Amino acid sequence: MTALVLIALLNGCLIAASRSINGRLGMSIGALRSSFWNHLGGLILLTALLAGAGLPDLGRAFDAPPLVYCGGILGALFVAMNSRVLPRLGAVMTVALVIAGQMATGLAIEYPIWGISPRPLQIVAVALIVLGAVLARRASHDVTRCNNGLIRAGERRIEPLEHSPQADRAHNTSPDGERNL
Amino acid sequence: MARPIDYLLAPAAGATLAVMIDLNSQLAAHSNAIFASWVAHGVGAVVALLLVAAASRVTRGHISEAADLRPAPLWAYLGGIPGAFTVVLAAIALNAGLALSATLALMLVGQMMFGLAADRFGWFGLVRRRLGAGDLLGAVVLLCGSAILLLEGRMS
Repeated sequence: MTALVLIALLNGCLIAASRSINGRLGMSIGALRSSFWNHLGGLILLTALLAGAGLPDLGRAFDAPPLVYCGGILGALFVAMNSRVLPRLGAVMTVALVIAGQMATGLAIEYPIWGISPRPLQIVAVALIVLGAVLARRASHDVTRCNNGLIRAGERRIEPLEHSPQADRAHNTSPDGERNL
Repeated sequence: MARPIDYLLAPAAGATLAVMIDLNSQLAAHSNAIFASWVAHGVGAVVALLLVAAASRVTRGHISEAADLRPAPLWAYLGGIPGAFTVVLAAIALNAGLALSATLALMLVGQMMFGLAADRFGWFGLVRRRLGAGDLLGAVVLLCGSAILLLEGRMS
């Protein structure tokens, strides 16, 4: 069970790594082109995996409603939007806002189908998610104001972290030094 | 420069992702997870290419959307590899008996941990910054909300 927990955690790390790498590519070649390379890379890997695992029952797959084949359209848009936003807002802020949008929409998708309204605890949960995003947003406010996607340091919270004797001394005496971590 | 629209684009991306995952899991129910993800990546590659072509027609190549004029390192082109691999890991965890809600919640925790590390150490060209109490508190509060939602959703 511990191994499965670690696999699921590692999986989350891989998702975040993939999105951050796409964000880096987007800085240089643009978010839309970054989305293309992301999908091409994934397609090549999945083609190899599919070749190894074998095709599913294609008759049954083609019986699925055509709409379910359109997920990739949204995927292309998602990667492009995420690649644009991530270098600008930072990873924590982007993860927080994406999860907030994802969870609220997930709840909204669930209910028209079953025809029942969300329970109070679920509303509280969405409120907590939004609150979490707002807390992270306040923390990263100073950073995002002067981050235009280029690597910059030196303003307010974006302090260089190189260790010089002076900096170490300052950290050891300052209440908001490295101990903040 | 982070513009106000970026704060709207991020949750909009999350909403797009939720609908995409919903469609894709329906396709996976008619086939399997790897086939569904393969289709999504194929369609996504074609659509992204069309979007690139449409955008360069609109701007006629005069306006670059790139924010960083240095060439991208080669590894930056490989983001799709870990992204596609997540399908396999999720399938392994689920097939071995980890509950869907727990799997999803743990994946969110992993994302948040990685995000905190990426910001702290400036991975992938991100601005390096110290993490404050707000980041950690925000992460914990957000993950608590997600966990409630995921566990509640399965109990109905």
